[in-house]
Amino acid sequence: MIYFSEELLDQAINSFEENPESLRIRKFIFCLGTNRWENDSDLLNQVSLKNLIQNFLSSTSNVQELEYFVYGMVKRLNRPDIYQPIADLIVENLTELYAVTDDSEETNITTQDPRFILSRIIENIESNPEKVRIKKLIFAACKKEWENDLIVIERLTLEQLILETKSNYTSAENLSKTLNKISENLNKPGLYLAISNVIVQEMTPLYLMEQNLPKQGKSNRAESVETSILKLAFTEKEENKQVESSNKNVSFGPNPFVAAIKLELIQNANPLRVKILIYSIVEQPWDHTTQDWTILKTYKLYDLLSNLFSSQKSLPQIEDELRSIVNILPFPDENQQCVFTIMEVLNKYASQ
Amino acid sequence: MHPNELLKRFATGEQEFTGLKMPKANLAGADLIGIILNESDLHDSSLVFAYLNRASLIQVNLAGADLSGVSLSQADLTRADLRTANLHGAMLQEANLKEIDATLATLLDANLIAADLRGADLSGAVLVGAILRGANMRQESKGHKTNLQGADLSYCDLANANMKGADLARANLVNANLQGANLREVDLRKADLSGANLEGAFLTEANLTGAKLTRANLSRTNLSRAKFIQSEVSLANFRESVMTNISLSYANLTGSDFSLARMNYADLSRSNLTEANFMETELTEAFLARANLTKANLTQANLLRADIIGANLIGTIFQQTTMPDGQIRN
Repeated sequence: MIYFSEELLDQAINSFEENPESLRIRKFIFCLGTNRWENDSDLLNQVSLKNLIQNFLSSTSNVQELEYFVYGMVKRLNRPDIYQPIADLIVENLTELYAVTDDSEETNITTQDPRFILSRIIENIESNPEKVRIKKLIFAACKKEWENDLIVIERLTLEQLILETKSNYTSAENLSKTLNKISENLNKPGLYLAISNVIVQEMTPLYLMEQNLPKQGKSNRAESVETSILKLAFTEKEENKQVESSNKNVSFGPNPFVAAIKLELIQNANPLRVKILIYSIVEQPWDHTTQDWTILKTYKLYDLLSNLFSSQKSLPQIEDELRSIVNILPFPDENQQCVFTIMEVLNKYASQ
Repeated sequence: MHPNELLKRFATGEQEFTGLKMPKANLAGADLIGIILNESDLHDSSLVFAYLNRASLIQVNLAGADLSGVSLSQADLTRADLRTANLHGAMLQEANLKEIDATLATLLDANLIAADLRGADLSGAVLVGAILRGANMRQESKGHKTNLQGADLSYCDLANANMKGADLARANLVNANLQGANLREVDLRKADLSGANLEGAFLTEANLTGAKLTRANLSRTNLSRAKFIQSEVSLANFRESVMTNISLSYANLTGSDFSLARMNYADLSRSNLTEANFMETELTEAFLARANLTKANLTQANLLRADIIGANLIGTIFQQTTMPDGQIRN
């Protein structure tokens, strides 16, 4: 449980109660705290607003999660136009509570219950009229194959699917990319892209929660100097890009650092082998299925390299993972040579 | 002939297989370096990761074939049929691809460095992320134009490629690298070059009517007599470019940078130049009738004998600006 400042919480409650829309605010907070909608004003007034807010806040660890749940609920209501300003007001008042808890955030966050977030996700998906398609799409992202047979899909619970998918994708962004790529290749891409957005929106809190947890086990990992330089170079280029973006007279374009590495790799190795190897360590191990080939065609080598650098893997880690992949791929000699070239190029740019 | 027989005979030293009929063959991973398969029929075959370096494949039929990851470096594919073929991640460095028909083919992330693509038909092909540095697509005096109509060349690297006279109408060149490329007389009508880098490129007499170049880098380019009529060129960089006699009428050039550019005799009539930067720009005898120069910066610009009749000059910055009548305005 996160302990918020009582004083600020009382101030927020006062502000809600003094608002002309206090009944709607109460309805909204009641739903946030109990996960059900209540129209009975007598019942609403019997429940302590403070308890409801505390109950709801106990499931959020930061402002992003607060916003996610509050604005996510607005979208599910019949009259989002009316509840949008109410949501804004709630977020505005409750955001201040997090600012005070920031100092002790790290110790408190570990106590939050991921099961609560998971149960909310499952509940939301189960109540969605497109739950069958949602499950099909999560299954496709999780198992890397499209399955139309509902009996096969139903062998796994939604919870199992969500947890397995979560462990297969390092970030909500990676998950989103794969879901979008799969959706684009289906018969109803528009519908499935919308479903893809729903899945990402629902699963994002799981990733947010993880980001805020202390990085156990990683802190002791010694990173090579080269890796740090590689990361630094990439980060600097990214930052430069952002600076350039803000300058209206400077052109956009691909990150020159990634583009240079890509050029060197294509000049010195088989581009498809490079893609398969890097895809295997940033997305999923290559297993020669038609789906793998289809998904790979939706990625540019540039994207895969960008994802590789964003993954923050160290150079020895990249090499280890590439060598493991070579063992399960055909043409081991060619792929071994390809790994050698990839590492040579990455080392060269890391030392520049 | 069965693929196994071909492989067996090739392994014993036989190289000449001109006119072979072997459609839908599975030759994935085969080592066929230097083989002669001129005028052969291999349509819908699988040649994934096959080695065909320096092979002679003149007029070969590879329509619909899967050539993913194939090695075709320095191979001769003159007039080959590659329609809808899959060349994802293929190696085609220095390959002879003159007059190939590769309409709707996939060349995603392919290596086409220094390839000869003169007269090739790549209309509708997917070349996303492909490397075409130094590739030759120049139109021969009496030959066909290289056809890239509607092709997807986004994120392509075309640095120093020779594309003189090529047809790139409606092509997607978003974020493409065209540094130092020869784009003289190219047809880029309605092409999308948003975010593309064209620094130092030659675009003399190129036709970019209706093209989109938002945030493109066109610094130090030669754009003499090029047509940008009704183009969307906001926030682009034209710094230090040679733009004499360029036609930019009706173009949206909002926020673009023309500093130190030479724009003598340029037609900027009815263009939107809001917040454009013309610091130290040569605009002698430029035609700016009804141009919108709201908040444009004309510091030290030279507008001698330029026509600015009807131009919108609200908030325009004049600082040591040489006006059409030769007077300096501050």
